[in-house]
Amino acid sequence: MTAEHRSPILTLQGICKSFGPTEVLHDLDLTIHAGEVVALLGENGAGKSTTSNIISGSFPATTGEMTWQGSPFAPANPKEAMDAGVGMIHQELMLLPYLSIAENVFLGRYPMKFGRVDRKEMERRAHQGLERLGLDISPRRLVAGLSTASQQLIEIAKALTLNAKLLILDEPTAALGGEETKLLFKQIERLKAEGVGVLYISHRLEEIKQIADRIVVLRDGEKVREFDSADVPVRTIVEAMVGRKMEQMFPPLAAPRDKTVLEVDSLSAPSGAFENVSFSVREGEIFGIAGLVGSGRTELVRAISGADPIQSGTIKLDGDTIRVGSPRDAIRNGVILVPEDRKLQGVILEHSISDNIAYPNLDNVAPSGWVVRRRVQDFAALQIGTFGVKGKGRQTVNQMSGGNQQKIVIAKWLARRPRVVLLDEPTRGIDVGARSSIYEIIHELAAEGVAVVVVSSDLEEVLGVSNRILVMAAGRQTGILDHSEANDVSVMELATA
Amino acid sequence: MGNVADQGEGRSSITSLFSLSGATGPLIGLILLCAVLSVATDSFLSVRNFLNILDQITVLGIMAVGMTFVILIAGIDLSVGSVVALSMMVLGYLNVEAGYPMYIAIMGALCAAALTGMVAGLLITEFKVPPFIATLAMMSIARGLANMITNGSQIIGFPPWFNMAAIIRHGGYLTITVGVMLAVFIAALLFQQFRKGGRVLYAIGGNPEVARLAGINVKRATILVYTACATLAGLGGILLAARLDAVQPTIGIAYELDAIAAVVIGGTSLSGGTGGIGGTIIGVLIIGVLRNGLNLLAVSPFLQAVIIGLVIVLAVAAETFKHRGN
Amino acid sequence: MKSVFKTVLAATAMTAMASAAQADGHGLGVSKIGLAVPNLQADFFNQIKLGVEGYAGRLGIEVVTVDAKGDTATQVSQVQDLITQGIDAFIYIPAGAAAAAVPTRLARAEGIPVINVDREPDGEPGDTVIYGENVNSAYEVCSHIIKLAGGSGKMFIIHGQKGTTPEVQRFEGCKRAIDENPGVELVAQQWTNFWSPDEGFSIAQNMIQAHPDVKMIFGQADGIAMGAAKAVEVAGLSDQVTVGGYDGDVAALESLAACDTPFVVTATQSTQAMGVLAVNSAIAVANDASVPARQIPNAVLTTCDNAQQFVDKHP
Repeated sequence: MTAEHRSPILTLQGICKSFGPTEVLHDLDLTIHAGEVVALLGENGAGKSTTSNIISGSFPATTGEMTWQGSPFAPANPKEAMDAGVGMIHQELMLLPYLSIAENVFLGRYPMKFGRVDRKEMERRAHQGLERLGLDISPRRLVAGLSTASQQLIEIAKALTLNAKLLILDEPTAALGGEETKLLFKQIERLKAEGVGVLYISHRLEEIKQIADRIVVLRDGEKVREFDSADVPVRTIVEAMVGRKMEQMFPPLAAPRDKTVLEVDSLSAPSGAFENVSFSVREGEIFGIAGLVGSGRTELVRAISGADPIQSGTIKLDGDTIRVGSPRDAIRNGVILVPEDRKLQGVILEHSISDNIAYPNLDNVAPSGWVVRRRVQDFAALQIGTFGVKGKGRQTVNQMSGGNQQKIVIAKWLARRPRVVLLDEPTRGIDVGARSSIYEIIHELAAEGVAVVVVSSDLEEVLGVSNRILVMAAGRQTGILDHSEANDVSVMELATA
Repeated sequence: MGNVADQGEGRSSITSLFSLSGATGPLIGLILLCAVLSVATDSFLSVRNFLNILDQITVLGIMAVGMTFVILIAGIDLSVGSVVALSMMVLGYLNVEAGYPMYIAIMGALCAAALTGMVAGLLITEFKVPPFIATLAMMSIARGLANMITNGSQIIGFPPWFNMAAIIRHGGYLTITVGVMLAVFIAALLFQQFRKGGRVLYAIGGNPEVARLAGINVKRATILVYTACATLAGLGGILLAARLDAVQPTIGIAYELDAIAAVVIGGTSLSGGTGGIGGTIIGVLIIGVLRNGLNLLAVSPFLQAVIIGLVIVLAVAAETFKHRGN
Repeated sequence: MKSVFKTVLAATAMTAMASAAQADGHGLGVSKIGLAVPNLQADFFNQIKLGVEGYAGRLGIEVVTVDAKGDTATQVSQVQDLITQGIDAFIYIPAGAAAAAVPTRLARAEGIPVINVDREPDGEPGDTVIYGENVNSAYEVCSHIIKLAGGSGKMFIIHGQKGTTPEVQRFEGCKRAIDENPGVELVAQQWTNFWSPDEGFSIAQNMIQAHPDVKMIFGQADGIAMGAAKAVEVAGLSDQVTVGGYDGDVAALESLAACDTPFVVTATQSTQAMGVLAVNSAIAVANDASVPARQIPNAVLTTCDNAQQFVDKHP
């Protein structure tokens, strides 16, 4: 690193933030230099978002000072921060799908010429920005249909055309597969070399070790640890985050029983998303499905749960062929899905926890067709207690953290005593503490004799939680590995086969 | 993470029955409106005037119930005004022109109305036509059919008791038509709050994909909701025929907008999933009281239109502000 | 059933009349008049309203006006509200094609005099009905445009709202003029819903497309006629076609006075006079004086020559 790159672009000194009487950030000091990646870690509620919101001008700090390239810095609104050179990339991408890439990049600040939008200039500059990130796409293309990773990069390109000196990336890889993550990291390295500072927020500790130069760990609004190198054991980071010794992330695996519950034979999708997939899952077995984005793993479990149609092949339950034309059919047979996108497919955010839990169980809660509120509440309270959801039945789901939302999604199903539970990305966007309790639930299910299928793009998770792992590549089944023979190398080999 | 305040022990059963959670603003508005009118004109606050208002909101109220269900599942039905006319013309044709007894004419009118709703529902679920377009088409089709029955002219000559059903106040209070409206209100409230089918509508409106993955038959429910909405519009048409003692194919133009306004004033969100019948009843009453009150105050017709528009904006804006405050 | 209703009606009417008689202590016997108008967007109804309000104002009578915006059901509700306010007389201009009998019944049940203007509901006549003469005046308008066209040629009729009394009668009158002139060929007719200029324009445009050699157009209201005249101008047929209207709206009279469009003749209804007549009839009925069952003021054939005088003072 050159001396120029070591000069701090942003410093925070004694930053506190209170919302009403509650102080959510206590006395935070933080320095980010040009050309370095600082990882900001912590569980949900630790103060990561508050910190990034203060830096990006969403709201001011209550006390404390910031400096930007040596001079005092107190952005009154996001625009001021943006003009200074802070680029904030949100977790939820904010691109307009039916506008071109160039229009998205220059939204609201189109280059003008003779009183009209200068499309040529706009496209030229957008192209420059994309090139800087090694992205070879025409800026005239619509955003709709681009991969999530490309969209992420477009967001970054947008920040770069604003001459961002500091990028704040909030969970940039949450929706990315392995290859796409690699691409993103390559671009971050490139920006580092150009002297851009990066504040990187993520839950994925493995990737932080790859990308970060320094690690700052927050807990309950306080900085608890700072590591000057990313070469720290994951265990140490996790313990700093949760504030207690982790026995083990993943509970020990139990041996499955002998009886086969789910048999999938030569299953193919009409869309061609997967072809000719065969596997079986036994009682009490946790069966992992791994593969890169686009390998067809999500489509496979959706088809088994009746959410998507099937072209050919059979699904057997306890030896009998079942027909799953719709989710109703699958549910009646005891096959349930905890879907990939919690907020869009798993829960209704504006509705109460009780209602969310009751919806799939109305025939149990209200066998006569009459819904009695008290029974709904009692039923929900029982499930909330069983699964350790932190909340009251009448609270709406959007007041809950990601981990609690996921517990609600699982809770609403398990009252039906399913035979097969398909979990698609069960811990995406969930903090470490809540994650281990989801793993516990998965193991408890297996212990009760349920056949559990876990789909995940998190390699560590699939390896840690599964008895066996099915690996898919581009819609084909490339192998089934036993826990004893599976490791990240063997899985990745099959996933890229 | 925002700390979540305890919201106090469960709401009282009455408020939960009326599910006024989204409609406290409109309820306060309604009470204020009544208070102001009681002071401003001495003819407002009387049992008789209140009964008049009930008479006047009968058709709107029944249509708004169906519209509430449609909007709850994040749909819209623009055809109800035309369906009112179609139902009326079928009723008039069967009873007066073809000479069938009234109960057969009523069944026929309701069936014709239900059919339009079912077709709209099928278009929406099976052919993926957006509800706005499907019901816009149905609005035109139903209006055309209504006109075709008599080639545009009106039908009069119903049996005398038919008009009496809308005029004679049994026990001094209740005309049969108002009674029908109250029965529809009660049935809809019970259905929405306590029937499985009613609760399911909230899930569909909240997020149809979640509902489908939860094993709810979203298509069937959608078709039934549009059928029910059209059938209620048809019922509204029958009551309107009783009130006017005549039927004509040009009646009911823009009624769908009144129904939508009542639902929205009552706190049901156009994006679906929240709100309900309780709020809609208040919304209907606000419109009814306002129109009645402005007439009693002899406010000029032009100014009335302005005031009604302002009230719609106020009701919805107040609700939005309340949400922002939370 | 019917007789029961009649008894009920008669009984309530009598008590109401008795109480009304008590209130008649002062002056004219009428202190508040309710006026139910179908649609104030139409100049014709607006003129009547102005006539009623102006004259009643001079007499010191309060007028409460309600506008049904073309909807029968709305009008029934509004009449209920008028009665609640304790009106002494009710001037009723029915809305919609189905001139509802219900408002008349409601008012009758309270013993309130009912003066119908323009139309009256079938089977439930008021104490008197005042309407513009339609048949003869329409005959005169059509005869005028036929004469201007040289007594022969193709003709269009653009009707008002189908099934309404003026629609039926104005057609009857015009048809008589057509039948008297064998050279005149009625090649197209179409109905509007709102008697409005935009309807007149688009209907005329379509008709001209089908029959570019048209010579005469009769629009059953001035709005329709002026819309049709605009369509004629757009088609570049101003020299070939003459357009006749009806009602004598203010805008139409001004257009006639300027005399620069194909619209050359109308029948001016004495709308203000009808308003005055309605108020006088209401006072008469309230005081048990007899009024004729039908009062039919004539409309005046108005051409470019005599339009200015009506612009200056509307009859």
